[in-house]
Amino acid sequence: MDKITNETIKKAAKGDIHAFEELYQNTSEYVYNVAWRVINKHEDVEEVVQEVFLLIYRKLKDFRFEASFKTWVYRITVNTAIDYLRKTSPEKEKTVGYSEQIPNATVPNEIEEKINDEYRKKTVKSVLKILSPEQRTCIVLRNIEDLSYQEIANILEININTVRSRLRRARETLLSMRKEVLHHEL
Amino acid sequence: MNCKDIQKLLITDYLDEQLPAETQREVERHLSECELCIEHAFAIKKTTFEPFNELNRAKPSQDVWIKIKNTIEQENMPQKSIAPNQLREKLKNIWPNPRLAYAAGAFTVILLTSALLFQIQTTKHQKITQFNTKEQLSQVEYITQLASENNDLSEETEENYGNIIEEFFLSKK
Repeated sequence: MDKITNETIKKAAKGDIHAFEELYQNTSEYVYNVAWRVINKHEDVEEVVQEVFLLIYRKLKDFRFEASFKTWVYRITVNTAIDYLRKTSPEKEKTVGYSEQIPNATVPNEIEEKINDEYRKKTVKSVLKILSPEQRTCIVLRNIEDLSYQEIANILEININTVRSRLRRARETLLSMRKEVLHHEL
Repeated sequence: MNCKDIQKLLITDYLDEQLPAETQREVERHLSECELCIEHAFAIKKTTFEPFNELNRAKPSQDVWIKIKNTIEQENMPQKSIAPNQLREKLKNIWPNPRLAYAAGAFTVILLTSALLFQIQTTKHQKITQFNTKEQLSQVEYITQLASENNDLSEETEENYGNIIEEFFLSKK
């Protein structure tokens, strides 16, 4: 993302397709991964990614260089992914039972080990599914994209304390789900 | 700081490495003495951090760029006609607020209707004016004709009057 120069952005804004392709090559991996984790579905990611880049192409002429290009691209990606979620899943998603995915253990000492192992393998999709789109977005941007609280606040155009509060609530939900699984198995 | 304050920081700023240095040292000092908080930190890390630690990162396929490029090239081509849904999308981009768009549309309709009604009234007035002028013309002609006939009559009468008077005075002599 840091390889993109202002000159390239200006050329792409004027309709230079080669400059725009350069922007695409430098940002598509990041856009893909954020979109994927926010919508939490592999099959529709490419469609969302296409929509993100078409929006970027159309709005480039309005980009004022006030925020960083990275922040601006993140914002479009997150908003497009959340819009997609709202269109395709208007009802609240059911809480996933971890116990559905974690096999029964016969020996008590191995339960926690198995739970941890299964949890690690299948957990990301299930974990993200439990969370609201807003909480999921914060977890993705912090835990997967490794952005700071301030960067997340700039991208989502919210207060830094709201970022903190969404992360806290998301993690508390995950903690309580895991406790429930452990309790059920034990 | 007590355990409750420490645990609040553990689940957010401390494990996210967002704390200022001084506060970080204070938390670590507490953790070195408090087993409960250490267990809590361990559980948070295992549950909410580790699952995301070694995730694979994916890339979009080649097809994605080809589709994006094709769409852009199509949009840049001059269009002869726009499909109704494309037109709606374009209008949405120009005017994102539907209420304002409806208000502007209603205002335009009222303006056009008023202009049309005004035009009809003006045309009607012109026709009436023309009719009046024509009617008046024929009336004027009629009156002129009457007047000229009347003039002829009066001229005759005047002549008669003159003759009678002459005869009267001439007879007196």
